[in-house]
Amino acid sequence: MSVTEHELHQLFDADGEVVRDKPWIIRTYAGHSSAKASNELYRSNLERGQTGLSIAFDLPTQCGYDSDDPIARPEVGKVGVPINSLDDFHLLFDGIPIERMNTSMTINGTAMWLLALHVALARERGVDTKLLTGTTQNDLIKEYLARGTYIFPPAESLRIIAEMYEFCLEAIPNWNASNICSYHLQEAAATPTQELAFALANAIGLLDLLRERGRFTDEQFERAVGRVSFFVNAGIRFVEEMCKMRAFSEMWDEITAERYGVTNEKYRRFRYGVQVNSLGLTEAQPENNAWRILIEALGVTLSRDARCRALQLPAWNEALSLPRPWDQQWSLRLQQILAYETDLLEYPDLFEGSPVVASKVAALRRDAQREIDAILEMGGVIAAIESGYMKSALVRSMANRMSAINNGDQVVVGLNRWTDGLPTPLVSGDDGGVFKVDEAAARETIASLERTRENRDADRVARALEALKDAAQSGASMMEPSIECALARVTTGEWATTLREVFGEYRPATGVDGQRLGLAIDRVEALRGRLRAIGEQLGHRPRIVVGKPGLDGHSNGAEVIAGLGPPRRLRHRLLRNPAEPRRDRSLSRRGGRRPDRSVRAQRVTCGARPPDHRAARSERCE
Amino acid sequence: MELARQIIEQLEASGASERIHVVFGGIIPPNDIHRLEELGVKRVFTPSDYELIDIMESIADVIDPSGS
Repeated sequence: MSVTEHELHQLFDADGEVVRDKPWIIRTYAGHSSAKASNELYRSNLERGQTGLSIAFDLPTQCGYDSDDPIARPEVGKVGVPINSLDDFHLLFDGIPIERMNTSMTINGTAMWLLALHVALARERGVDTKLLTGTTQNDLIKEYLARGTYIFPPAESLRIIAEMYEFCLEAIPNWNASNICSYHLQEAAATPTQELAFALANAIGLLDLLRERGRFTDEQFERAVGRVSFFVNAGIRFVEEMCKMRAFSEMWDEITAERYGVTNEKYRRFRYGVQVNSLGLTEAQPENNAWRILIEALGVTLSRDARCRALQLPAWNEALSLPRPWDQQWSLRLQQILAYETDLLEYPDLFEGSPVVASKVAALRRDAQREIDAILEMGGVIAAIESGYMKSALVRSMANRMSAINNGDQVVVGLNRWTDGLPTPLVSGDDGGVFKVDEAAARETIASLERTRENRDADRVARALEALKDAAQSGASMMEPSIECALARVTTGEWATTLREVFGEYRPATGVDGQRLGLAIDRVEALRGRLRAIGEQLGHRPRIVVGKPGLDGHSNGAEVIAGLGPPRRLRHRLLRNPAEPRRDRSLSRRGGRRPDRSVRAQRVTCGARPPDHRAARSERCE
Repeated sequence: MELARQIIEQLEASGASERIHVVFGGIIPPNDIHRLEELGVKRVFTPSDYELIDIMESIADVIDPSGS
């Protein structure tokens, strides 16, 4: 059968037979409590028709601490699964054939360690690592900008990413050593233009680095370009989002061809996975979120030429707390209905030739290109982070978004319009409609960590850590030494501590200037008067410390608040005094200077840590 | 909860809990809000409290020595 005019709506295979596209990889971001509990969850998700795994790690694992570290204790198993050693990985993947599973790991600061654990697991199981497929997220640029689970300074973080690309290209050729993430930028209120520009500038920074290191032949470099993949967000303005995805594909094709001279079209393809937007999900009338999630999924699936490779959806109740397995199943069913019940996968691209779509894509490309040129002009993505340029741009976007919601320009149904509704029956169950982590799980995890420490060969552990340190210092690849650490039952905390000793820990400048929120001026004036009166009664001007407790650094919201008022340089300091005894210093300020501003943003560190240590949080981060 | 407990305990230990008031905000389950208030947290804000001026007025209520 040959293709004729009236069959333009159909898809054909090489033999001319009418076919239907294969669905994207369907997954759910999941993991909680313990390796054993998460394994049970993964197995039941796979039985329900999920086609890939997306692993959520808890914050201590993401930040490189063992579960029994004092700073880790409040966070163990809260927003993901705790992994202390290869023994936990054996439990996590028990009964799951890793060679037939596409496994995505949301892991960044400790990405090399988790990849080493995965490779070590394959070796102990006798699985050929060439068969492994999946992704380590491993995008530290967006960690500095928006997410906060970085550990090392930028140069060392980029070296780790580069070494992972160099290792994976031949050893695990179907592994995505990193995912360039614009997802988290949209969660920090990035506009579509900012998402495009910042993510592509980030990818350019990575490929420039790989080229400069010179470890690849030209042929290998071309394949490495083909391994760069992206993790993208999709918001409620779904037509624009669909156009954004087309703009991404076109711009990536152009960058890889022109800047890097990639001739093979296959290696220029824009490959991306998606988690749709959580920022726009509301706590008010939470049932409405189900529709938002559906609409957002359309933005990244409707257009065949710009369709995602993998999709994970949040649950309707994520603005309330962690989702239960049933909530995640509800989102999984949405994907299955879209992929298997509807006719979506039967057609070629639906928007090819649309002048409206073409014009919108062109506008997005033009604006994004201008922004990319500006970043490259500044010296690239690292310079634009160190100068605070990108972070300030994001915080301003967040302030604009909050203003638009406050003054009603941006309608959010159930939040600032049509706020009167019948009470939702979805939260009326005994559990209040949210998931509760079993507190006993952390004790089990710690007991299992202690067993690992008792049963391992201490000499082998010491040798493995020494070899890791040598590699870190000499500039040799840390990948094989990390795999040996994994096999020797080194723990997550030991691996990270060893590298912290060599590389140090990074603490970026925070604080941004110049954002404004639109507030009702009469109420602001009344409040100012009242605060003056309170100040007179108290004998001093009231002060507020804005802190972000917990292990992560999702601090942009706090910075919007702390940065209100006249433009000023914010001061940021750790709340601790190194002179005090370790366990008691968590709430004292370093140095003795009085704060000279009434509003300041600070991170709050709880628990006992060395003075340069960073604090973290307790919210879910994808 | 654990982080709130640590902050409140440290404030009490350093004798500052009378002068420094603690408010919390974030994605906080309804059941935890009550427990936080029992610990001594003066106000708990959630994503439903998006009106910044409401939040600021509410914080002013907390620190007002003549009020509440």
